[in-house]
Amino acid sequence: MVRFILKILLFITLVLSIILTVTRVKSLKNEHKSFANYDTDENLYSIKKNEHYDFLLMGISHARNFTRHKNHLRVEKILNKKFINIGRGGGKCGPAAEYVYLKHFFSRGNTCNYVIYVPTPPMFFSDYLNVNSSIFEFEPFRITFFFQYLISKGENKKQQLYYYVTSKYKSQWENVKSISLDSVDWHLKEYDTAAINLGFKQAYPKGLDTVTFNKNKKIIKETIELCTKYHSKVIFMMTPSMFGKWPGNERVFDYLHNLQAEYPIEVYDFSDVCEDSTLYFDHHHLNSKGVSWFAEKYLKPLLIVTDSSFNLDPAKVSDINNSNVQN
Amino acid sequence: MLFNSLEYLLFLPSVFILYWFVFKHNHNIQNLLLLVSSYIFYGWWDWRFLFLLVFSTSLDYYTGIRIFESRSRKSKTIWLWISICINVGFLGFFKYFNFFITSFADALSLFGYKADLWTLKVILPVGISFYTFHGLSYVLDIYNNKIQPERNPVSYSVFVSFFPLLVAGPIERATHLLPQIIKPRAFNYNKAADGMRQLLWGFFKKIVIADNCSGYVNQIFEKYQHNSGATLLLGAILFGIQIYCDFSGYSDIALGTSRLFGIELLRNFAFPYFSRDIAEFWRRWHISLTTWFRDYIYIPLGGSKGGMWISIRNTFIIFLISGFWHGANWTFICWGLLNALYFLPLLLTNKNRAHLDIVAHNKIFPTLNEFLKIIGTFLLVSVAWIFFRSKNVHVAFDYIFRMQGWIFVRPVEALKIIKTPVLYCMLVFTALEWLNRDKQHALQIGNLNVSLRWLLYLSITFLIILYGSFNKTEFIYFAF
Repeated sequence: MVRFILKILLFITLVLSIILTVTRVKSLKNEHKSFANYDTDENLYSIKKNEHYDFLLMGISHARNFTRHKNHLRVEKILNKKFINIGRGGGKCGPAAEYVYLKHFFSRGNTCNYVIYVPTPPMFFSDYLNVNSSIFEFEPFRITFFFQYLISKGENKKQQLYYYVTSKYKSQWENVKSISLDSVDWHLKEYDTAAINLGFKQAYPKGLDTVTFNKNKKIIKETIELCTKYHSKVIFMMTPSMFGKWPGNERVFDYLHNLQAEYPIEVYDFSDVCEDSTLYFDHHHLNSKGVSWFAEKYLKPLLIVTDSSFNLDPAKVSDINNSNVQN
Repeated sequence: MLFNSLEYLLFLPSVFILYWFVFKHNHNIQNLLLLVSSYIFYGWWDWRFLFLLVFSTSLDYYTGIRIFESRSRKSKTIWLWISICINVGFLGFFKYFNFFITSFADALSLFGYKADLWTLKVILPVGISFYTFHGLSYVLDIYNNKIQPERNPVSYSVFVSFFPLLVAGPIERATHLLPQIIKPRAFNYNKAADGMRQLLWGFFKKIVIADNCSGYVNQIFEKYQHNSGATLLLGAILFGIQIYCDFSGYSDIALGTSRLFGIELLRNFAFPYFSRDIAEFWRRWHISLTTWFRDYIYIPLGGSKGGMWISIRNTFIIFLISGFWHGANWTFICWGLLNALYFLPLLLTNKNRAHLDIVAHNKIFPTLNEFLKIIGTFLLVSVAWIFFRSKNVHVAFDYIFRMQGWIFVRPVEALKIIKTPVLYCMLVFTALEWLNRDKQHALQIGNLNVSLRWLLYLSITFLIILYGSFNKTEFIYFAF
């Protein structure tokens, strides 16, 4: 009997060790490609060890947009600051995975002065973002990250980690290459209400779902606590969209403002500061020109002031930079 | 609870440890543990239907004793019919009520009457066909003086509800299973190790082959009107592979699990797709059901002893009942009828027992003649499966019609639907099944060199992890 049990345990250990080792080896193939933050939407390529950044950006596509299409280089140049972007777009990632990315970032000895979180309302209300199975499909395989996610509170961890491992054995993994364009210069041609409404339907599959909202509120709180632990100040900053405020914006910002009583965080809502369609490539993503404009007009003043004078509102930020306004 | 779920992966070792470590010295408590575990296993799906299971068990337990203790034949017969009527009544209600009502309404409409008959939204209790047949065989065996009733209610309940076989068989016989439950069991390393191999092979067949095929089959059957003949043929073949790997995979997991507890269950499959004719196929496919029908219906009807016409009549009855047992749909009846028609020429020429041995025994490859017979039989069976898979008889005929004439158009194009790794897995599956066709299951490789054996276990496990489909797909036979 004991022999039988021992053999079963030996077999399980062997299977796990071999699969983790082989997956790691297969993963190294792409890690050697040394992608920059803007070359890929995956985060683990960029999260290195013992690096210091002026700030870290996180959120969904509206955060990622500051890095995509080499916007990263433009923003760094305008701000004269070094930053890392761990935001994930493409409907792939919600607050739960963002939290683990951030935890992984800190656990590798990295630091940053500020964490700028772009709190796009759909990420609070759509449960799909937290349960998407293919979230780590193209991420390099790191055993530490695997276990960090395994012990996290993710809702679809089994499936997500299963794809994380097995995707390294698929041909798509072999063919991963840089996705970056040099810039996105095209702009929105017309304001299309039907397209916006269709987009809202997709972004809020269950409407303003309170259950999902409450779950994500907890994760946001834990994210703030994690940043506090690593001495990074948290700034919530919503980026502009052509239609102004997103559905649910008020609930999100009410919650964030309430958190200000508990934590030393800053909250800015720039949702409706820009209606110039030439600065967008769709209804809610700034194009390269728009990103530069936003960095110059809002992000720069927001970051040049010291911690003590941080309590700004969008109007004040706008005033500070009034002379540089380019529409 | 599904075999292919994380819950089962935790449930099985827990029961195993309690069974062999905690209650090792008390056989009665071991049986009680098996019973409680079986009820948890079944109740995980829907606890309300536990009452039906307990009622069915109690009914057969009680009527079994009454039949045995009745002095007159008449009294025995009355008790037997009480058991049969209630058992079949429940089965009929849950499984066939709506079928009869709608068929009756359809029949009336042929004569111009428009009947607005009511149907029920009844959930089919998982495994009802299997545990009903368990109970029936028990009371029939007592009636026929083959066994004595089991007085210990726990032992009898374990016989009916033992979790590995509860929801999709094999359909056990009291003569085979009850003695194993009654007597104390000792842990046997070789039996348990082989059980693990069978379990692993069952998971491979279900999770890698059947569940991957299921995706392709659904894709082809759902839009069959838009597919080429070659693709439709491929769809039929893939469904044949799917249903075999799904059901025999389930049986392998059931048999393997059972052996971990020192209990041997009846073999359900003996590599049926290596059969050289339909008669051989039916001796190797769903053996526990086929032999049930043989022993409790075919032989009592006179079997083959009353001349050719009686034999033909009985064969058709058995195939029709077999089809109907699978489900309340005319497609299953057509499937049974078609198999009976396949069987007929063998019966008429007295060749239905021509292939009782193992094909190409002690050889690596079959002869060309054997190979062609195997392929021919497989294709016939695959065509019959079209009825099994189709929504209704009209769709099945339409599918077959569209398959004709275009069969040889772009067969290679059709194959492209299957992902390359899955194709490799199918080759591994076919090779192992063929090489071990004289064994109880394809991974019965205890005699191989230890390194080679472990290499094979690890490879199969990796194939399951990497190419398996983990969508918790139910086993097809849960629906029967």
